[in-house]
Amino acid sequence: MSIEKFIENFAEAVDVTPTEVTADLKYKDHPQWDSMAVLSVIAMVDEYYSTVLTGEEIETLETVRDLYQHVSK
Amino acid sequence: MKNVSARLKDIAVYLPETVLGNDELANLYPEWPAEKILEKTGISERRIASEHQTAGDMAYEAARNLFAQGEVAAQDVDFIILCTQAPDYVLPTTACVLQDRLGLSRQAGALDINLGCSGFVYGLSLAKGLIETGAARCVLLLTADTYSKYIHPLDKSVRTLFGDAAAATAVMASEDAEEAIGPFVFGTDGAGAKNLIVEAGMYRVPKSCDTSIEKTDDSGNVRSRENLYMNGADVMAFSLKEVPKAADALLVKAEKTKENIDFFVLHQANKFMLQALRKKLKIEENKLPILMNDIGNTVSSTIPLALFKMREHGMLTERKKLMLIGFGVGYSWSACLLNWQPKR
Repeated sequence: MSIEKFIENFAEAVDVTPTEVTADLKYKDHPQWDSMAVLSVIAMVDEYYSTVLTGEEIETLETVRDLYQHVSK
Repeated sequence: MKNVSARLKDIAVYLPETVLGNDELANLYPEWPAEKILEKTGISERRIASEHQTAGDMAYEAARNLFAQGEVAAQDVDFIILCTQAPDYVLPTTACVLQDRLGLSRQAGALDINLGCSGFVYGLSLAKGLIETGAARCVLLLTADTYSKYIHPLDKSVRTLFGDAAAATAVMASEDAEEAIGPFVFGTDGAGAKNLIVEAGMYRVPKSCDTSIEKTDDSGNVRSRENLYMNGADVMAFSLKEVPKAADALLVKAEKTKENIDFFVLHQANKFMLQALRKKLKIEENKLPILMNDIGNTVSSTIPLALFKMREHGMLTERKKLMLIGFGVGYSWSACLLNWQPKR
């Protein structure tokens, strides 16, 4: 899956407009980032990438690109 | 010895009176308006046990409701299992106290099991074992918990999710050879213990001045080590990993397919988790009931409460094949098949 598609899925999962999400976005700094967003990303990644991310991984990584590269491995 | 099979005869429930609604929670957490709470969790209100009302008290009421429903007589009960993580005393066993309070036979066995979200399915496995080995004929399986008493009032992460309740289920011996309860699969991963825990207050971390210190986390939730802590992200990840595997393993063991199952009755943790699991299990919406909007996550009572509601809603008027999956604190999980037979 392309990074563009990942960004689209990410935006949908976290419930923000797609234009607000770029590959370099430090997601934890986004005003709408909360504990529900963490769960939504875990569910989204599991659904589309068949990978279960942990909370720790989400906490340690920084940008949307980092997440994409991590799950694409 | 003639073959007996264990059969689920009846279910009754008890909900404490006090209602904790989203408006009240929204007043405590300014950035969490009531609509947002409902939207994210699928819960509009939950019931809270009163100050002096214990899980044992609620189990007592559920049992009384069960006997009042008329399918099971108190004098027929020859084994009591109480599943709770908030017993009346350090000792003795709360189920023993309940035997006395309910006026049950002094020839009955009684024991407590310390499990949470997986407790009802584990309880069914024990009841089935007792009955099908001829050790008991009428098992009163009680689930009851008061997580509210472990939760810090300013910890919105768990306060919005959990509710108190109890359920009483009668599992009885039947001369009908057809298996009504089972097979079972089990799972345990103690590495996840720290992710859903009341850490202090027993022997690993006795209560002290240090354990009572309140701390605020990055999301603004307040708790001490004596309060319930849940790492939502890791519990979610665990559920997404293990629940589908358990469902598949059970289907293989039972030589059945998903299409043979009428309803998947999962531990009712919260709407978001259930929807994510439904998608992963690839089940149609109407086959995975979500029925906890007015009670929240009632721990070991979520499955019997869901079954009770399904029956009330007319979803169980015919014979149905159900898959029950309990999963959570421990980590602990269990799944079984249940052939539901409506009352004749």
